[in-house]
Amino acid sequence: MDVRREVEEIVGARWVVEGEDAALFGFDAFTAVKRRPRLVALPADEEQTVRLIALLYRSCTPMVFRGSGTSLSGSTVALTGEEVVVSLTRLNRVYSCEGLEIEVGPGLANVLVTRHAPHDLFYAPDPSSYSVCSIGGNVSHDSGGIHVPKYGSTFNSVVKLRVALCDGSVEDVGGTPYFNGANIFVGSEGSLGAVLRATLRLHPRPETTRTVLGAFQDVASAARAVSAIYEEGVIPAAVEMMDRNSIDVVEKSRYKAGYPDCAALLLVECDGYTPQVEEEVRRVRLVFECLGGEVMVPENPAESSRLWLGRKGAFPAMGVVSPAYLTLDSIVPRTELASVLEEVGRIAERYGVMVANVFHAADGNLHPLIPYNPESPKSLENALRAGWEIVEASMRCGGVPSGEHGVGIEKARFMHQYYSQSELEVLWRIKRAFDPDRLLNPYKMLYENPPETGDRVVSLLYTKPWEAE
Amino acid sequence: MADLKLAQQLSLKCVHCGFCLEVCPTYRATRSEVHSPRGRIAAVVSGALTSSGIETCVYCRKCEEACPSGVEFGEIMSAARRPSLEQIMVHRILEDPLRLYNAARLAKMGLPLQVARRVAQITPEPTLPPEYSDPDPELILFAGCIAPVFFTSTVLRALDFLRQRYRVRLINACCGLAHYAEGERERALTLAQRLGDAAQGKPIVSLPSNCSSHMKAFRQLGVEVEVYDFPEFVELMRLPLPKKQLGLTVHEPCHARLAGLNRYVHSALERMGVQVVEMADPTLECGAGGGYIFEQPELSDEIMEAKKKEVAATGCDTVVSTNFACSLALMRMGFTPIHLADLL
Amino acid sequence: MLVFVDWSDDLARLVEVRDGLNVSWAKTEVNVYPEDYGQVASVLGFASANNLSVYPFCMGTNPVGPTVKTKIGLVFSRLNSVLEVSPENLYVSAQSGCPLTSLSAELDKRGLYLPTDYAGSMGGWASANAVSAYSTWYGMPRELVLGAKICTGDGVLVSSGSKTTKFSSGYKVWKSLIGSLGWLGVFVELYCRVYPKPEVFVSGVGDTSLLNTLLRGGLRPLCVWVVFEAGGREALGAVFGGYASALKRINTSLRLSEGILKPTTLEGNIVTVASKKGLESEYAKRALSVLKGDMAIAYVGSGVVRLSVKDFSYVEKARRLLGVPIIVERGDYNGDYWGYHPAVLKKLKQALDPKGVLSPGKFCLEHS
Ligand SMILES: Cc1cc2nc3c(=O)[nH]c(=O)nc-3n(C[C@H](O)[C@H](O)[C@H](O)COP(=O)(O)OP(=O)(O)OC[C@H]3O[C@@H](n4cnc5c(N)ncnc54)[C@H](O)[C@@H]3O)c2cc1C
Ligand SMILES: Cc1cc2nc3c(=O)[nH]c(=O)nc-3n(C[C@H](O)[C@H](O)[C@H](O)COP(=O)(O)OP(=O)(O)OC[C@H]3O[C@@H](n4cnc5c(N)ncnc54)[C@H](O)[C@@H]3O)c2cc1C
Ligand code: SF4
Ligand code: SF4
Repeated sequence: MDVRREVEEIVGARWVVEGEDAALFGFDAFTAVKRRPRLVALPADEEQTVRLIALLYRSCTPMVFRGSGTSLSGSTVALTGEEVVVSLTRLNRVYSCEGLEIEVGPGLANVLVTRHAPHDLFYAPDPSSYSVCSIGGNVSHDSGGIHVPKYGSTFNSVVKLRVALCDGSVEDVGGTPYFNGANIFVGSEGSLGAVLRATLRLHPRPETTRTVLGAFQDVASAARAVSAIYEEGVIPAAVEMMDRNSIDVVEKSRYKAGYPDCAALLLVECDGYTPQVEEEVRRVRLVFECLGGEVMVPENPAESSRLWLGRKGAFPAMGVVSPAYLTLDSIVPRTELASVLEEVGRIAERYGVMVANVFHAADGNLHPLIPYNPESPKSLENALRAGWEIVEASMRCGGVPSGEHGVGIEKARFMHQYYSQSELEVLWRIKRAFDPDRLLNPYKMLYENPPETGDRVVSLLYTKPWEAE
Repeated sequence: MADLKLAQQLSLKCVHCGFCLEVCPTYRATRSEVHSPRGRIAAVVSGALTSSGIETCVYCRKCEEACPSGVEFGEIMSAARRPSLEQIMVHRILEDPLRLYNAARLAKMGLPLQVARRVAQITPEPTLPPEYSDPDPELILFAGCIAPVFFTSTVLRALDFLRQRYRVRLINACCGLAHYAEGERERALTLAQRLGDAAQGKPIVSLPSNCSSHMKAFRQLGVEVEVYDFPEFVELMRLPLPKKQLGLTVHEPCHARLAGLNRYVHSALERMGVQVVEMADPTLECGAGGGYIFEQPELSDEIMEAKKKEVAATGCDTVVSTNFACSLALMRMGFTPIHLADLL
Repeated sequence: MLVFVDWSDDLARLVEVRDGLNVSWAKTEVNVYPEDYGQVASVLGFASANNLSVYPFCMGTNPVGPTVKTKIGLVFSRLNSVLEVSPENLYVSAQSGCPLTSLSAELDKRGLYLPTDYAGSMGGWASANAVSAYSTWYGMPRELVLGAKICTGDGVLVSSGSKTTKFSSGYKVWKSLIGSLGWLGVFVELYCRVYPKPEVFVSGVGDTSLLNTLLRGGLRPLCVWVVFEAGGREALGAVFGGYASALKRINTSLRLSEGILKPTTLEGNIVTVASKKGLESEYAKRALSVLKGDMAIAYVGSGVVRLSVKDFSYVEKARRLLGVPIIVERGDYNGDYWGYHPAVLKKLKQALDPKGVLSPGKFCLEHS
């Protein structure tokens, strides 16, 4: 029996997508690469998913697990065209909620976790894509969001996982104080197995949440202010920075927030026990004023939420200036922010691109948005190269290629720069232990030889840094 | 005529962020990219107009509201779609309430057509559409296509209410929203012009709120009309309202929401002292669309399933719905839909 | 007295070799004392090549699970420096043999702290994923360790993770090692998240009826624990940290005083119960009665309950009744110390310690 028929037997004809329609699953929010998968299957539940994975593995069919397809590193693209996309979106149930834990299916949108939680608790990780990105995707990229400085990334909120392994076995891992098998799956980009269920940690809602905006006339002062906040003993819930370009973009979009005209602004959120928050806000203001910043403290929640919506809408708002853009996410120590941003400016100038910076400043997590014209391969290549230089500059000052978007296709080349050959071999050993035939999300994160796709952009992305001219 | 070029042009703004997915009723029902706004746009861009998702869009334009990049999804769909023969047939029937009445009677008698079976399943007994005009009318009451046939008493109540103060002419006709949504753009324009001519510059008070919303956008088609949604008119004119001891919930029709009309329903109910039990998301799609409820039985039922849970959670049986297609859907879910006019 | 075995000469060429251990918690034929990471790698490489088992440890007083008997004891006591403290970036890097006490002293000078009350080495702390009262708010080493240099069982040094707060650039190898008791690989250097030390700490003890307010209300305590005793006595403790001006307004109906209280130390046989987070108290009470224990400490919010028990005769029963992982943490048990055997760990072992030289028997792969 051919694989297609067997897939159909497992999930039902309605839930198999092929032909032209399969192409609609052939891309995610990394706009540079699109490939049509061989087939798409949308299993209804855990049992179907496990059978499907076992079948595909047995028949040597490569596969890509897919959540909401908002990956910014291209991790869901069926690069070779041979892959079957296994969409986990229908596994979106909430199973239970007890104590500080909630157990959900991987297809559930991030925003719905809090909505299903008791009213006095909330789920902290909130990527800007929270209204749509799935928990499975969040786990697989170890997604961040604006509240990482205080609450950590997705990793910190994952208690337990139910995973499906390639041999058709299912295992509950994590939730144990010592050996914890869940850890390796967080950030593994669907390359070790599928997440079937996640038990997540909830936090008590803060008594008070306050926002402080600081507008600075130079980027260096804003960057300095980020460390200075901590030196004052403040543990902010969020510290985001936007530079002039990103402010302009947001102000042109429907997320228009009425930001002040400045070179860089910082949006800080303090939350927690009311008297503590009051003192924190006082100190943040002080830090901003001392560094020449203009301070704005919104009067009411509506005003704060407008300021934050502007920030959260900043990526997609790029749509108003360009139909396509790259978003990198290298991360540097906070103290290096000012110098790296200067370098980003120089790189942008050299490549003649308008780079908008809007990012998680407390984490040192840059998000240079680099627009390009999708109709022009030249423009894309130019943007890619500018992005590479930014990542390299970050690595030079003690940084990491990806802080939260994952390696995927976009940063696969940097793995060869960031890790030594022997380190890579250890990563491969892990990969092989879980996926001996290399059928799970091939060519993402780890690769030896570039995939042969005939696609120029793909071969460009897969040139190892020392091979590039 | 379908205008693929225009649709593709407008689609370029899409950055694939997916922010539109979770608001889309067909995506929520299927969780498949094929039936998502982002997927539909991708299909348009690649010219894959036979993709089943193009057909299954309810045209609620929820995605447009969610889209941070300002993608004009409604325009894309309208420009890209090529109506099927069946859709054209449904449109022609909707254009004339008398035709709809006859068609509905045939359907009830068991006409062996899929659409007909669905019509018979969904609609209440049809009534002959009422006609009415005061001499020298100063106001038009626009009842749309469905109400005159299936919600005649609502139309008559609204008529009585308005006649207490104004000289009214009742028009039963189609605003062309279904045509526009399903790619019959030129026909939609013709209908708009026809309506414009019929109104003769008189203000139109429209009963179905999604039609109100569409007529308010006639200007973009080059047709000038002065349109008020019925609750909007009631509220703007501060017309006296009776007090009511009632508990109910309110459904917010999608296009009415786009035009910001639902707040008038709420303020009118407040003036009447009605107890509203809010749904968690009153804007959740009902699954009716225009002709959608007839043309896409399976998906529309699935969308209704979700809405049914949402309404049931309020514990109310009575649901205020100012749009009659929505009312049909709500009836199918087992609730009692009423229009604001029914309370007068 | 040095035991002369044929391989120890070869080993001595790589690293300083001394007498092995012969104590209740571990038995090793020789101990080695590497002074740099290269020596750690060569010892493990050598051990793997020659199929010699290795027990990595440092101060060596915190054995968890079954005791092991190995050829080589890999001692980290000479890799004990604090490497970098960054108040601006809020991280510290230190060698794995660094005692947490000296690290804390170093941090204290800069107004920083690492929230734990563990008293052993950095490597032991991370390898045991040691719970502490601070786990209520700050979590465990799993949450606090940002990255590490590690060495695989066959001697490959790997940098994994980073000094930054987030890392999505490849498998989280170092996170898999956290809690793995040196069975999957060893830490040679760790990067940890540290915090500005709060201006003041306030602690208090009080009634357990306050638990829900502390756990789910707006006060945000750093530590909350509840101690249950066999006789039915129970007491709750909590620690708050923050600005003096803020904390003087705190009103919890706890008997509060300045300073830091700690939960009592457990003695003797110890069992760890993995509870659902937020339900530690309930699990502690049930476990205490099922295990017929002496005392239970619920580390509220951490998902961990620890109990001291007379003996382990009710462990299996407790596993059945409570339905959560129950681990024999310390003491002689002739049954299964862990009660869970995920294939995922087997795969990781295969990848990271292919020859299986690290602490054989510490974690068993199959049900016995
Ligand atoms: C506008 C915008 C803003 C964003 N903001 C942020 C931000 O602030 N912070 C941030 O970290 N990210 C952000 N992202 C990136 C993205 O939303 C996250 O990476 C998100 O976690 C992806 O979730 P998804 O459901 O879309 O996953 P997908 O894109 O579908 O998949 C991502 C990866 O996870 C794997 N995967 C998905 N589900 C499973 C499963 N069940 N089992 C195994 N593997 C699985 C896939 O194979 C793939 O490798 C943003 C993206 C956009 C478009
Ligand atoms: C009776 C008794 C009661 C105690 N009570 C407490 C208590 O309540 N709280 C508490 O915190 N401590 C307690 N301790 C332990 C003690 O106070 C210290 O925690 C102890 O010194 C730990 O040493 P260490 O961290 O170097 O760990 P070790 O005992 O040397 O090692 C602990 C574990 O980690 C592994 N390991 C060590 N270093 C590494 C490395 N670099 N890489 C990989 N694996 C490694 C070892 O293989 C071992 O499995 C108690 C000890 C005893 C004997
Ligand atoms: S108009 Fe409605 S149904 Fe159509 S794509 Fe948009 S949200 Fe979905
Ligand atoms: S929200 Fe807008 S830009 Fe984003 S995928 Fe949907 S249509 Fe495209």
